[in-house]
Amino acid sequence: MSESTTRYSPLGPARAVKGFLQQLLSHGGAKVGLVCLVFFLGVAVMPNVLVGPLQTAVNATGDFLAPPSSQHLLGTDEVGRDVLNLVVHGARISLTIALLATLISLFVGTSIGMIAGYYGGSVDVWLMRLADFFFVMPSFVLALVITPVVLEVMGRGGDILGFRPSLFVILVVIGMTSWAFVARIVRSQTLSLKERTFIDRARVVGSSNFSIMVRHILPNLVPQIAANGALVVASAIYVETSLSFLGLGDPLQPSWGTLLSLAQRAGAASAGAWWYLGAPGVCVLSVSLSFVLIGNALDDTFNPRRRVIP
Amino acid sequence: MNGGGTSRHIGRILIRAIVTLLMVAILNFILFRVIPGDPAKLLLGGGRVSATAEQIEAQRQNWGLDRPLLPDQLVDYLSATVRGDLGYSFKFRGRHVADLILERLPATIVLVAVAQLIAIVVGVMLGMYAGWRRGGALDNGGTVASLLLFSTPSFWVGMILVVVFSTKFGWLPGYGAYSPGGTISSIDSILDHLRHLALPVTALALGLIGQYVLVARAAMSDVVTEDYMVTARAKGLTNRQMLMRHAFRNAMLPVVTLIALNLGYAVAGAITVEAVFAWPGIGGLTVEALNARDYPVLQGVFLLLGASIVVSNMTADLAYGLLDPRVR
Amino acid sequence: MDKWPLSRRAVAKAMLLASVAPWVMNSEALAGSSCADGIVRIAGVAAPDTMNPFATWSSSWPLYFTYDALVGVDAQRHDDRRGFAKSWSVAKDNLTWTFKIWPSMKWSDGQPATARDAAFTYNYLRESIGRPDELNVGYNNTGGLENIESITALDDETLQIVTKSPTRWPVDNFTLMVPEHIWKDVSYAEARSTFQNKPPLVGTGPMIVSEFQPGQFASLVPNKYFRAGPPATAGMTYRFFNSADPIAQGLKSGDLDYGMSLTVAQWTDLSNEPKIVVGESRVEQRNYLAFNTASGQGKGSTKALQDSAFRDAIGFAIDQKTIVDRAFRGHADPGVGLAMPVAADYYSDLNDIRRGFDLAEAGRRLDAAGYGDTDGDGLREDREGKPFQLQLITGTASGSLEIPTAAIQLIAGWLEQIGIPVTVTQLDSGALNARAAAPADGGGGWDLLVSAGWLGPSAHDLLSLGSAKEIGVHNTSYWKSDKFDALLSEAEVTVDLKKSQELVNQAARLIYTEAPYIMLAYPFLLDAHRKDCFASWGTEDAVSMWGYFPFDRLKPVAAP
Repeated sequence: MSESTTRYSPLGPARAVKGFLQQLLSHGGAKVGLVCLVFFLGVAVMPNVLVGPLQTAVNATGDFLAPPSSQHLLGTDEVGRDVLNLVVHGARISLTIALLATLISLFVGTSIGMIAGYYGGSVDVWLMRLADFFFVMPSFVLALVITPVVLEVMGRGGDILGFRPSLFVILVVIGMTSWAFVARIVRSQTLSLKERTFIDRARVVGSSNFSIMVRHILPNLVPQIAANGALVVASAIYVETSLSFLGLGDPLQPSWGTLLSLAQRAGAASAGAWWYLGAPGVCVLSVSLSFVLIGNALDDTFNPRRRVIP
Repeated sequence: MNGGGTSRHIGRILIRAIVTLLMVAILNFILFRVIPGDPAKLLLGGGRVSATAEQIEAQRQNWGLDRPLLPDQLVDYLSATVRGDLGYSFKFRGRHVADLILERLPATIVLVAVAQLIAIVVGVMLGMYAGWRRGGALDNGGTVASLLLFSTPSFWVGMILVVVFSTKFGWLPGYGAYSPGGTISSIDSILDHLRHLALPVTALALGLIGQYVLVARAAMSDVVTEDYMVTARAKGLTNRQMLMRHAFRNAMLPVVTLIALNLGYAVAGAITVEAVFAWPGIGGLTVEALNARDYPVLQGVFLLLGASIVVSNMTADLAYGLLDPRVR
Repeated sequence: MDKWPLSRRAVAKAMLLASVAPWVMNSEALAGSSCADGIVRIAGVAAPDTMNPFATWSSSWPLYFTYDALVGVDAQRHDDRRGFAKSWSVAKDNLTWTFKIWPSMKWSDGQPATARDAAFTYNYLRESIGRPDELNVGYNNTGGLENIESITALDDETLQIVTKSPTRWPVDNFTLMVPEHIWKDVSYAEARSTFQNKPPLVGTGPMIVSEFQPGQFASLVPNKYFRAGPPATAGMTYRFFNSADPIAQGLKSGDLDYGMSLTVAQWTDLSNEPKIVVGESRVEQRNYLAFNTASGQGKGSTKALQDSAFRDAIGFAIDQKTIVDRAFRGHADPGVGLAMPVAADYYSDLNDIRRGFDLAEAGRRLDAAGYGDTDGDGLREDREGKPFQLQLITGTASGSLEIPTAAIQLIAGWLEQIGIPVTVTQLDSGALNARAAAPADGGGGWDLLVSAGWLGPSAHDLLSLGSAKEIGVHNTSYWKSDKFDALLSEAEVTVDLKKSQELVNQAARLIYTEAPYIMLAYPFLLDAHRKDCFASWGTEDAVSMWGYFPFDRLKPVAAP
């Protein structure tokens, strides 16, 4: 892999960050992606400020499946809820699921990749065989068969870390099934890093394996992890949307995928309610496109020789 | 490179494929044992078939459920799976899962094959052209469009297609694989089937086209910047046809690999699209199984998807090894 | 490979072709009308699972097209809709019923269909009573047969049923008559589970199921031996879908002649189409919220569910009127008691004891019953101090009208407002049946159930929701009351309407107060048919949910 990623920057960290940002933003795609993403993050952070509390069938006031008007900019759904309200609140749920799933995936992927690369030998062989499995099987396919079973075993009652269990299960399953790509990359980086002199020096000083991994190897992996993280988010959004669309979501906490599923059930397509279908879909599309653009730009910046999109 | 290296390489690929498949089966085994309820009852169809005590006991004997979980039950399970015995559906009581899957498979294969064919031809053509003419208007516009297509969930594209082409204009049917009722004549029924194919194939193909364009473009532009191509250009090689063909052949390697990989994921990718179009294939079956919590069917589908993915991965690896000797 | 046609012209040509293709295909479709083959195309949101009427409650259509009930609901309401029996009478003692079977009627395989087949069907069921594999899990079940003294075929055309005490069961039951020559070799264990009754079926109805593809469709062909002469159509296709979307599309495009299970949005949309007639009728379906009142195996997450004061308080938090207005958009009657308006003999609005919608009152009653919010976090706790977190499961039984998601959202919303959070799981009919089965059969474990039942308008069927004998089948709250059962068994042996009304009223009041169920709504059946291919759809409740009418008498529209 490229040398540039492992070099300690001779400049101060602030200047390094600035240089990096300049390089990143020289990609037109990344600019568009970042703007779009900041917009959606903003929306997700303060939905109540923007459109008021989540409308439910209880407090809905609109007409049924009304097309967009000045009162309801994105029309209404089959119970008279404002689609704009739903989509904005959906942003919070969809993005939270995607980001947390990505965090889990990055954590698992990095740990496994680092441990495999650092210790080598049979640990490496077994962990990588496991990674092979998750690498080959798409997250969506695994989640499709695991999610319903886990939901049935755990039930949907209770509250896990402030989430409804069904959301929690989906995000954990996505996270636990999408780490293999990260693990592979981290492993190969670790393999080359551990031969470096600064690692040897740390070992001589008597640092424990754990502290070598966390203090010396991990910081050098951040660029790779970040670039792949953005791509993992895009795929997490895709998987969440698909699973929810197939009916595994929570109808009371509508993510974008659940909204599409509700629209489908209400017969929006055959009644010609394009606004009800269109709004959540455009959101999914813009967010996942943003992450793909940013991921590519990051990848390009850190690792100019291995480009996904030239 | 000697022959021993090649066969060792192939052996490694085969072993990896078998291990992955084994893990799919083991995951199935674990998941089924985790579901709350008596496995013997579950095998008879869960709470949906009110089995008598004798039937349950017979099932227990039959499946060796009174023997230890490991290794006896696992071994029995694996050998049953190898024989194609995937148990009975909960929802369609008394029906073998394997039969249900085989019944639905042809519809999915038709859908996926047509979509892939169109996507490969259109996507590779456009991608190669864009890579050849890097930086042109078509290249820039095409790349943005491809990224857009690539990021859009294909089932959503399908829903929009239904709204426009079925609901609004009434041009094309938006559900099912054929018009209900008897077959009139073979020509008519083929045309009817094609009409039903149009929208779901479009929905599936659009996303794939995006992917193929990106990869074909990348491959082509890599080739174009290779030394020998630059030299050829510098020499003022006028025979564009020659150049094109040369470049094309070299650029096909990553594209062929992607195609081989994609064929494996194709069935999985079609699940949500089939759900939108009430397509009577594996995807429809999966959705029914999900809603019904029909675990044996779900796991049968999982096994099928796993197998197709593993086989296509294996093919891609082997093909790559054959086409590009550096890999060995 | 040699002539790889990569040129702008080729690309443009391909694009042009692709964009023109839909037009070409479309003109082809317009050429061949779907009316031509004379096959009636119908569809519904349904999941028939087996063609064996002893093993399922999910396959009413298409089974109703192939098999006749002896009398059943329709024959009593309409003179021209008789079933297996041509006429019937009861002796003065109210115990001996005599049925005249249609003379020289035949099964669809040409064998004679006689009173002996009817006697066989009933006795086949009756003899399974008390066995471990008793036939009590499908349309054809043993319910009511324990009160039967004897069922005998006096001759080929006369069936006699003698009951132990007076009851209307002999005419009210909708057991489907099956041919003895097919079923005599089927064991009880098979009949209640694995026997699939593979098509082509053998029945006396107008349309015979000739092919059954689970999850896809059933094809039916005219019964050439049908007693009124074979139907004028060339057959039927009944398609099953998971959602109503394809049905609305199919009606619009002319692919379907009849569709049911439409959502309100689609129904309203279709009512503007010139060639489509939409229909709306009151039916026997009851949509309800059930509490899991089981105390042992299969019990819910909190003991409060077993407390009638808790359930009663929840009743104040459910606004049936809003459910009708917002979830059904007016296409339903608000839920009250066990009897629905279409069962006019028994319906009562329970004016004097009805709970009004009042969230504050619900809160006060919960506080008084010991379910207050002791730790002040906005969520109530049960008497053990455990915060409430109720699991609500829901789904639509196959063949009954879909429960709108909005109704669930409303209920969850109101409960949330009184400090009782709810999680929702939506299941399909099969999975729902499994969860709502009797705890002894592996059901239970949930807290709240929003579901629907669609039985007959008879006293027995109205009260089955609270019957201890029907636990896990129709009584999905697992609620048991000796007093209720006593009223039910008395009603079962009462023929006098006035007395029967009094008994049903008492039972309905008892269960309303105890509140194992909160009735939500009695939805209307929304359906639509096209008038361009077939005529004679009839006028009142256009399509019967209790038989095959009007599909036995549809006629192709003469080509203009």
